[in-house]
Amino acid sequence: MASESGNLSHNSGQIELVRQEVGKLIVGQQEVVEGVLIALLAGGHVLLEGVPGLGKTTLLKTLGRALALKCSRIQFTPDLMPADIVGSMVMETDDRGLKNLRFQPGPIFAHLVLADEINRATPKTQSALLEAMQERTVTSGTATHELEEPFLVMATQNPLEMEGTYPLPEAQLDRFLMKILMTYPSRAELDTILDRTLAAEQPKIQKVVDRDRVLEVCRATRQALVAPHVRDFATSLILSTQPEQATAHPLARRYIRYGSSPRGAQAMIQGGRVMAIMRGRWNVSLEDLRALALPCLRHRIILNFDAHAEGKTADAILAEILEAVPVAK
Amino acid sequence: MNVDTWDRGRLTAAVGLARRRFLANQALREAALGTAIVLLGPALLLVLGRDILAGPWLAMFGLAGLGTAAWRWWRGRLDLYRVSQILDARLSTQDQISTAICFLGHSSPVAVEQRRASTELAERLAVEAAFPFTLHRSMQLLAAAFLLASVLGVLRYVLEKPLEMRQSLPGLIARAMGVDQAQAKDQPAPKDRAGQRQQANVLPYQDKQGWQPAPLEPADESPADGNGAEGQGPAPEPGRSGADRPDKEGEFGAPVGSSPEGDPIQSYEDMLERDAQSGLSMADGKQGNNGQQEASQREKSGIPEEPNSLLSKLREAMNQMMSKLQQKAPGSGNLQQAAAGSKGNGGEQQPGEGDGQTGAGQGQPSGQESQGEGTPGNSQDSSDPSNSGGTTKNSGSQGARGSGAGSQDGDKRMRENEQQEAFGKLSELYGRRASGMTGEITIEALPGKQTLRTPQVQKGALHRDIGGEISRDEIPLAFQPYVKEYFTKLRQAPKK
Repeated sequence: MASESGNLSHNSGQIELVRQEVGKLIVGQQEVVEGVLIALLAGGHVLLEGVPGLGKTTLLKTLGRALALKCSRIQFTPDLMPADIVGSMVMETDDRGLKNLRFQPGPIFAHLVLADEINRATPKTQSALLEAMQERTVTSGTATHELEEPFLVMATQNPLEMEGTYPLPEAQLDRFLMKILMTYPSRAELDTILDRTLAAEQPKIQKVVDRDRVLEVCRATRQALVAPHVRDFATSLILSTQPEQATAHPLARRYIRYGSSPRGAQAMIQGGRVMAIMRGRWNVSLEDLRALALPCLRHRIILNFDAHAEGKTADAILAEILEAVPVAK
Repeated sequence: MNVDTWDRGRLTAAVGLARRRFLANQALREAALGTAIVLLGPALLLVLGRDILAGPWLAMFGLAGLGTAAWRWWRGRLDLYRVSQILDARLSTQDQISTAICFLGHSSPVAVEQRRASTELAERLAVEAAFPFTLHRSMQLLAAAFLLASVLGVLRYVLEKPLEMRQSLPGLIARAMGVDQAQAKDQPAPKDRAGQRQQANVLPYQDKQGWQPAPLEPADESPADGNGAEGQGPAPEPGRSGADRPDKEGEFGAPVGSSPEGDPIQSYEDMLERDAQSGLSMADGKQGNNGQQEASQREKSGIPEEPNSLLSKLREAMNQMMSKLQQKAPGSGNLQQAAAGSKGNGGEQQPGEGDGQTGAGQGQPSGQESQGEGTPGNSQDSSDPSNSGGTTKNSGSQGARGSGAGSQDGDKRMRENEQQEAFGKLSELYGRRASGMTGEITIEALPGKQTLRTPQVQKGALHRDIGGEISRDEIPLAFQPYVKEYFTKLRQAPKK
């Protein structure tokens, strides 16, 4: 029992250390940093949406340095091919002069993968990530290669420049644990960013947690307790977003074309576990689920034409549905 | 393990304390509701009285209140897990207590650690803050029921001393408000009736609010109404009309052959003499009798009199015509002839044929004439052309009386002339009424759905299925950016 207690405080302490280390370079964006950490520890992937220049690449590199994990960056372009991501078979000559085909791993073979502007690649290339994100394997030819844990795909997309882009298919969107919206920093944060980035010496990121420790925390998060009424809350929320359900919210019937899949409930519960550990609890609370509802569900619901015509956003609809889910008072 | 068992006991005790407080709060609410239901019984008893609401009904209210309270309390009981959820929600404890209660039987290290943290948290919680004793709506209902019963009790005690609780409260209130006295007041004593009549005759003219018709007394109680007297005479006997009174005979012309006293008129000369004495002709006397009866009937029916109105004149002429028709029933041909003559004369009055019996010149029945004393509007009767015509006839009849012509010659055409005169008078009245009718007509048209019917032409158009599928929810992928941009511009466009 004492060891478990020590594990809990140690786990939360380790996560706090990582946050502080990332905060040396990333000013503000606390929710983004926390979301990326939750996705990493929950074994999911994260989709960041924001304008360029908000520090998405810097965040990934900083996180990789703090966790001592291997990072890679893939710039998605329309001519990017699946082999450019997963790797390809190359012919090489061995010492004896014989030519052999050898699998050359692509940039997907890393712990932290930044898929920059993922919506600029064709759907075929985007789909190359599907197997890696869900199964954590890569199939090339007849060989299937396993990816190392932890594995996090952090994809970004620009919400403004939509010309020449290919919106992510629902199947791939569903594989992202969370979709986090990056906003502009405040004035104070901007001043701090200027001070840090324009200084003569850049702050150095130290390694605070190694890979094994990260995996240990990942395993610990799966032990967090989820009470039945908390699980019922997640279930009720998911069902409320599905317009064909009898318990659907009126707004869902009016504006949502397709509701959230069961992956939404899984993402909320799994993310809630990590959030509970980060806050020093062994139990998931309703507040954890409420905090994670928007990041976990906003990309899993598909709005209909009426919602687009009336300017309704997924966040606004989800916020109203969230308020209507019954809880004990 | 012992520590864990001790933690379980502490946690259960802490949440159990909250549960007991919750149940006590719930019991207070339900008891208040049950008492309010029980109080409805006495309140109903105070309203209806023991004659209607018997004792078993009161017992039923008591049982219903107790049963409702007990059933609601039993149904609203919550177990520890539910109570702990409420505790978590109200005290913002991040669902730690409810999770610990839920995993109370688990012995995994994580569950034990979570339970220990939750136990320490639960023991620090102020249960009173989570389940305060508040004024619930059921208590407000109880207060309202108590107030209602108290008010009813006080009201009943004021109306009924001592409290017998037999009669219903509305009956008591009606008795207290003096319904019986009001009924007795509606039927006053005979001594008071004369005073009421005086008030009835005087008040309309003293009313500053404007003229109002005086309340009509029954015909048998209004001797002064017929002649416009001020009610100074003695009170008449009930059930006797003014026309039957002997003292009125001197004022009204006695009708021919229809004297109520059975005083038959022996000859036409006797009748003329009477007319000369009373200032009325025979016909006038007849009409006066009719008018008197009509006035008494009007009084009986409660219809206010319309002095000098066209309607009364029309009614008079019709009565006259009908009486003549009844007398001339065998000679219906004369009636047609008279009608033709009336039409040919254009409504002009026929001069008297010398028999003097058609002296309708006075024109007014004695009843109306007598009313003329009370109503100044009757003074216009002197300008009535029928009166002048009647005067002419009277003079003619007086001339005929001196001419020595036989009464039989006059009798031949007397009724015919009377009919013609009546028709002429009737036509004149119609004409005057039609020419004098002025006013406005307002037609109110209610708003409704108006449909314009347009003839439809068959165009012969055909719809064909060309196999395309259109879904309003789907925008082609290539057009989605443009649609989104369009709506963005639309929303950002400044409002005019």
